[in-house]
Amino acid sequence: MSAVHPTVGLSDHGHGHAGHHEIGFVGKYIFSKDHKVIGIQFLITTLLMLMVGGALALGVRFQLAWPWRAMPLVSQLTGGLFAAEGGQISPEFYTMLFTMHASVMIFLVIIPILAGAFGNFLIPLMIGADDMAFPTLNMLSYWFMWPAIACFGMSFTVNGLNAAPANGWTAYPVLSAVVQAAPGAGDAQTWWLFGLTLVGVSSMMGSVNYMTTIINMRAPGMTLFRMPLTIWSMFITAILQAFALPVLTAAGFMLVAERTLGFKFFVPGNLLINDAPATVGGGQPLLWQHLFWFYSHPAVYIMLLPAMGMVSDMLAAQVRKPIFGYKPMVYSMAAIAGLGFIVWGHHMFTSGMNPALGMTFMISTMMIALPSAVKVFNWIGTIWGGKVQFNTVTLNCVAFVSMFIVGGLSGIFMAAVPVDIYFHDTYFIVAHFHYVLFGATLFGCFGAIQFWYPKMFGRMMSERLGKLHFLLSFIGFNGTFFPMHLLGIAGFPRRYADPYIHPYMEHLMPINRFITLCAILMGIAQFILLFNFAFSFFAGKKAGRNPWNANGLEWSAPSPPGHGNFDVPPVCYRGPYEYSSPLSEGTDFLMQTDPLRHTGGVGNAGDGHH
Amino acid sequence: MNKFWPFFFMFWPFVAVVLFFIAPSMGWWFPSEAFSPLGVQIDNLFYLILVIVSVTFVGTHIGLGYALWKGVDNKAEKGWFSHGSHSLEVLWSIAPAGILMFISLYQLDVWRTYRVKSAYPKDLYGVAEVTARQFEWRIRYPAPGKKLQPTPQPDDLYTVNDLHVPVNQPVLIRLRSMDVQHSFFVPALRVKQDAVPGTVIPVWFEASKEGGFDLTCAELCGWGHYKMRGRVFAERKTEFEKYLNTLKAEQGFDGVNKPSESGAEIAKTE
Amino acid sequence: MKSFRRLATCIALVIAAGCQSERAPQFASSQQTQGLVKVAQDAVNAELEAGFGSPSQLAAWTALPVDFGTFSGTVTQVNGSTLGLELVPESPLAFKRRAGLLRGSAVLVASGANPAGVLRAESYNVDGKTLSVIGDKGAAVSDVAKVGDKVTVVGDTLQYGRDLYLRHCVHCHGVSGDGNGPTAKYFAIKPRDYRRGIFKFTSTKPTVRASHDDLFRIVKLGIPGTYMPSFMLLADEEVKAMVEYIRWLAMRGEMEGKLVVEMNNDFSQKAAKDRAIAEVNQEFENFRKTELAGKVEGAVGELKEDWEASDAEDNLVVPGAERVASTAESIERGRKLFLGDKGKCFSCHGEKGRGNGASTEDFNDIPGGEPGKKSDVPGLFDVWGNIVKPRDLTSGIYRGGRRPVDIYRRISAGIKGTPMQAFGTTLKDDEIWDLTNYVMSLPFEKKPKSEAKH
Repeated sequence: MSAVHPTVGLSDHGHGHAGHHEIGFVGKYIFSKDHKVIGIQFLITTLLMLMVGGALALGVRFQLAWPWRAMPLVSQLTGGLFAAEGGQISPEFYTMLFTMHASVMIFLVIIPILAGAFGNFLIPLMIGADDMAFPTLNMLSYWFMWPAIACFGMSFTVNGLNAAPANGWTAYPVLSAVVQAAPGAGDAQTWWLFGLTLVGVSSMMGSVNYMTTIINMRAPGMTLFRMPLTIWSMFITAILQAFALPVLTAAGFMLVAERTLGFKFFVPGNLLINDAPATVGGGQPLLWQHLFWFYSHPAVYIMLLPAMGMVSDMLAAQVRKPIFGYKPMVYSMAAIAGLGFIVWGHHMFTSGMNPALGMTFMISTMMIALPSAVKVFNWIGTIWGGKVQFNTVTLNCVAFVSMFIVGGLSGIFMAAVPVDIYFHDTYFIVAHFHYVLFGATLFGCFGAIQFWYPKMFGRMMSERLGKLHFLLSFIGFNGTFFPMHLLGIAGFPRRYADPYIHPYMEHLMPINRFITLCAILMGIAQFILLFNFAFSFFAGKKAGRNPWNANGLEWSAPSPPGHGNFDVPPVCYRGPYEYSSPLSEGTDFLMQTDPLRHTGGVGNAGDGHH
Repeated sequence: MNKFWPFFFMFWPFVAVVLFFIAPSMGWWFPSEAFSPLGVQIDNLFYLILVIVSVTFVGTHIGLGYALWKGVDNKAEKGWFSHGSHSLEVLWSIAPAGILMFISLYQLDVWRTYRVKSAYPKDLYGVAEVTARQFEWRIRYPAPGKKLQPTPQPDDLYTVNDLHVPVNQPVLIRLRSMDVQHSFFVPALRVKQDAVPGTVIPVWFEASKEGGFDLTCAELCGWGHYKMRGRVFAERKTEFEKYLNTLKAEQGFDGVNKPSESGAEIAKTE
Repeated sequence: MKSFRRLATCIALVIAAGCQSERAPQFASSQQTQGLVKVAQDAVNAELEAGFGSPSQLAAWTALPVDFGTFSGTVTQVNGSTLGLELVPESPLAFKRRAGLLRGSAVLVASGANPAGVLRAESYNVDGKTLSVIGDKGAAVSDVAKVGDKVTVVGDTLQYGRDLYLRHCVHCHGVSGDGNGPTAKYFAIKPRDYRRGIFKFTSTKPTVRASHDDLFRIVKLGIPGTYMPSFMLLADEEVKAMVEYIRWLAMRGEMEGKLVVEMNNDFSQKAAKDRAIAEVNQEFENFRKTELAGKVEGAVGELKEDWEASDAEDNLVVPGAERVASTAESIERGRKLFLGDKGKCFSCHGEKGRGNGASTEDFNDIPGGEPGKKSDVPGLFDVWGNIVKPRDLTSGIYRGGRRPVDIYRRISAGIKGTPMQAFGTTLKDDEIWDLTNYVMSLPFEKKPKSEAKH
């Protein structure tokens, strides 16, 4: 493991970068333009936000398990900070909890941890560049996160500290458009929309940067089809972002205009809400749903594709085998991205849109399952015949595949329109997207943290703690979300503060208590991750350049890489997955930078056409 | 010890499958069988997909587990050096594509019957207008013997949260919203349709059993979303007419000719 | 003497386990109470605590006109802490099917050797006809209850109502029924504050409280046009228990109000501002010793009288004549009344009935304020101090119900606590019916298509 493979490069090129100058603490660690520092900043921020989002989720779970019982912490702070009386939370506080849980998790955790943290850290290292194409833009992309966090936070604090957007993260009008309709939302919804826009700005800056960097700054020899799948996934994600995001931003501005300036895009006339004068105007609520999902469905893949890419890289390294079907992997990611743009309507099967559209969206949605299936088969093919070493990285990657299978398969129920009539907005949906977003993406990220930590900090994370964290997370996760499928089948709707007033759901309280206990277990487990993360920074085993004996360019740089990344400008001689190649003697890997065994066509990653 | 993890990853799908098998007997399943012809079709589709999905789920996990199991044991000096197989890729692209295509085409008919106007049952009976509002269902019936009109009539009958319909008769409701978006969800009938502000959406269903079925709201409509407890009550045609007549007498009550004083009459719960 | 009365009439009820967290709901003092000097506040709170308990420990003050839910039976067997007896519902709201859930209700031993003895119900076995009890304050069960004693179990219905209230109502109406729950602050129309004992939409005469039936109807049918939803699908007995608890809360609030009125002249912070506090305290002590008990007794008497009257048949507003057929002529006569000097309906409801009459833009008297003093903002005020909008009669939304008799009663008896006054004495039956017919025809008057009603 500790074998440091000397990078043999063309040393006479000298240092290709020109950025060696003294920078102070602030420039180095705070307003840093170094992609690695920015990546790590993103990572730490998102991990903290993960805890915030998790706490909000536990609030939701507590209410579902013990409805109207005094909520720990919250009921101690009632009066000033939270709307509640007699120890009970109020129903609108519940709506705020789940709205902010989703908002924080999606916009401040999943999207930035993938593109922001790993995208930033890995892209230049993996393609052999000394930094991003636009370092300042990159720095701004991180620092736009903070106003976004502040706006989300503001949305909690305006109106006397106990208001927050209460419309769900989907913010469907009319509820989100008419101030009187959602008590407690008040200005909070407007702040929330600003926050959303700022997250969008941040993502957009990242996306432009990633595309430019990947297209223009690859090391010599790094052809498109020699790029690791991580880079492909980041590239495709960046394209998705760039095309989908403007629609959301526009929709967000429309909603802000509607809330503050009296425009009528989404609110039809003659609605009577909270004794306000009847609304005037001829807006159309479904317009928002179309605009929102036109972004947010592709966004689901933005939240997934990078994890797919990273898992492919990690898995290949851990089972010491080339990835099975490199090109099909790339094409299926591209197919997911392409199809991702024409499936948004499946969120709206029961919205009353034209039934012909329902049919169309059903077929396109079914078809998007296909590339996903191909990827799963390829991952299994990758493991097949490999030399599997069960460390934390492998475990998380296998969990990724396993959970993604569940999330993917449960999606088929919803893609089938008639069945979706029943499942729409029940806990079946909640189970489904948590399997994809938590089960797949976050387990992928947990693996990625363990895998690239030595490159970030020069030390290994603790395997013992890592495995413990994995075990508890995995058990807690499945205990939490698997029974939700059954809740969904039982017709348990989402976003109910007290479902048990409906007779047909009364008997579901015990299962909800079980779910909540598992969720608490899962929440506690994340402290192990944080501890491991912090502890290993000081006490982790020192890592060499290539602790995993992996092939990628990043492993030829020092750990951690200095400013400018590579001490020797890398040259790429082959694809990234030449593990167990018969050409490598004595080792089972063949680094992309290794010229000695450069063998032309045979070593190239391909899809098995030979 | 080496085998612990492959075992772990194969164990949990086993638990999952067992859980699905015992779920119906534990009450963690559909609230009841589907009491509508369309609901039965939806259930059949669900079970069909469930079978396909379960087989795939178990199959892929066996594959995954087996690969892991062999992988830890792999005594070879190096792993299997393979970049993939073209024919396998083709195979596992075409097979799922076929299955997915089959699922999506197979169910178009159900969708069509449910939503496409020209495919609605011929003898649809316009029973009432249901107006969702924060946080209740306001219901407007036409006077006995009259047809449901798009606009309110002086002799219309009103009630709230309790929609009576004739049993074994496809009925149509005009679904609308007075304020924000709601969704008309009757789990036992497998009916769900959003009520979109500014639009009137026709929804049809047919209850094939007498009795009360829970009606809930399935689209977040504000702080009291969970409070929208309603009921669809299916009864024989004669009972239904009797109900409308009771409602009519109640509604016309002038305080002198006494049909009922409290709301108890029209709000019977069993 | 006083303490004896308390002992006999107040029975503390413990709520079921599980709600006993330290954050258990508490009744809040009204603003008026908070305006009293400290000792007076304490006295008011102590009286309320003694007579009503706390939300988690209700007291059944049998002097109040409340059906706490009473079961009774005769002990046939005493076996440890289990009494053999058949419980029979004794009051109308003692719900038979809840007999198995009697946990926490007080068990009064009403006859026999130790008539003051109190036990507490643990559970009742309906089939075996056995009641498990625990002795109050450690008393041995066999000392308190003997074979042949008559036993009454009190308070189940109120507890049932409380549980339902804390689940369905408390977010808006608040723990104390002050209409100020956490959710209430977002509403344009404030939830009812029960503490005045006034409810707006009733079937009773102008000065009479709301009847059981009125409250039942409102809970069941909701108030269209407001955030008061319909609880149509709660079982009748659930709603009845809820209504009983709401009435009880209203009485608690009224009791508080009455006590404050008694003390306000001498013992408000305002009155005591320029006096030495020791002197005020001394004076209050005298008041407490000599007068308070009598005042409490008087207040309970008034409550009993007022609330019992609300259910009396002759306090119901019954039209003296059948509804006049809703013909064009009747409607026209109604229109003339609406616009005429006799009714002056237009002054609030506007000439077209849209609820925008001239007086909505005037500076009006504030009910309960200094006479002649006008409000700072234009509008009509109710007794709770909120601006009320006269109903837009063209909207087809009728808060108090849409039956002809409902409209008749609104006109005849007015809407309590609001500027909608009673016209029962100024208008004849026929005229009220004409007016009713006109009002009910308003939503169907020709109007621009885009204003089609909801």
